[in-house]
Amino acid sequence: MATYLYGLVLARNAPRVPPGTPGVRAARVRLLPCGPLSALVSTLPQSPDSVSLDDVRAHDAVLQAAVDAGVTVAAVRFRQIFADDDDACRHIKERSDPVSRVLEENDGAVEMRLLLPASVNSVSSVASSPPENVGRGRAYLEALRRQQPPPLRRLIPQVRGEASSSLPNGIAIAHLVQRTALEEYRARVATIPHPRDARIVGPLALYSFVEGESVA
Amino acid sequence: MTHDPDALEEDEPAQLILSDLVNRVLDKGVVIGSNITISIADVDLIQLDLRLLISSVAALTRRAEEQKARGDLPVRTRPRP
Repeated sequence: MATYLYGLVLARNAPRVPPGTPGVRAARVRLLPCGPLSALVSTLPQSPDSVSLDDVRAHDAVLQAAVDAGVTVAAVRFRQIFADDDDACRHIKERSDPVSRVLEENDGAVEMRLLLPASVNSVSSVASSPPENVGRGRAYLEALRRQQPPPLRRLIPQVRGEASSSLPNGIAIAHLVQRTALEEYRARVATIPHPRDARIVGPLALYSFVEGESVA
Repeated sequence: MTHDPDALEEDEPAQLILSDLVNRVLDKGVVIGSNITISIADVDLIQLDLRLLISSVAALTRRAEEQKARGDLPVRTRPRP
């Protein structure tokens, strides 16, 4: 038997996490108390020797179920598998200080991801935008074409942290945003010129702000 | 062969969302026991990336074939640096 770890929440928020969500290989997820944190885990008959896209989707879906219940979750990287619950808890406690600190400082926050396709030639119109915002937004797009995107958080005051990463077919820009500011965040993002195929994904678990990335 | 522009328009955002899902789940988040992941999954994760790449290339190829069938030539509007 093995313990698969999906994510971490503050212990006080654990009762709000819905129990029994199907996880990797359809194993039911449960909460494992580990000091100041509670871990979202499931039991696998053995450590899987292969990886599938379904496993990736299941990992994300477990975290999403907690986010949808209003809980701030620190995502754990894919395939963190331990011998048993005690082994998992021992490792978690070794890392609990920085993770607890991030969760305490950002309780109530979620991650939003702005996905920009590799081709940024088609720009949506933004009729209602303030002129200065359009100008800065277009400068942003020009920088994006050069693969050197400047921080968007200067244009979006609701953003508490920002991190970007390259995708095979575009760029993902992660934003740390309080749930209470999500409506204003979305409205502000809509004023920035963007490629027609751009997408906003979220609210999500905190994937990009829990492992040493800077928080604004 | 019929051309469905709506289906093509949906395909690229779907690929973008899928590649972001794979990127964030495999490459983001807290690492609690990094040695376990790397030693077990190294080869498999590369295979997963390849599958995503093949999927993206297949979509581009299909689009090019449909443009060719319609007699369209690819138009590049990106300005020279």
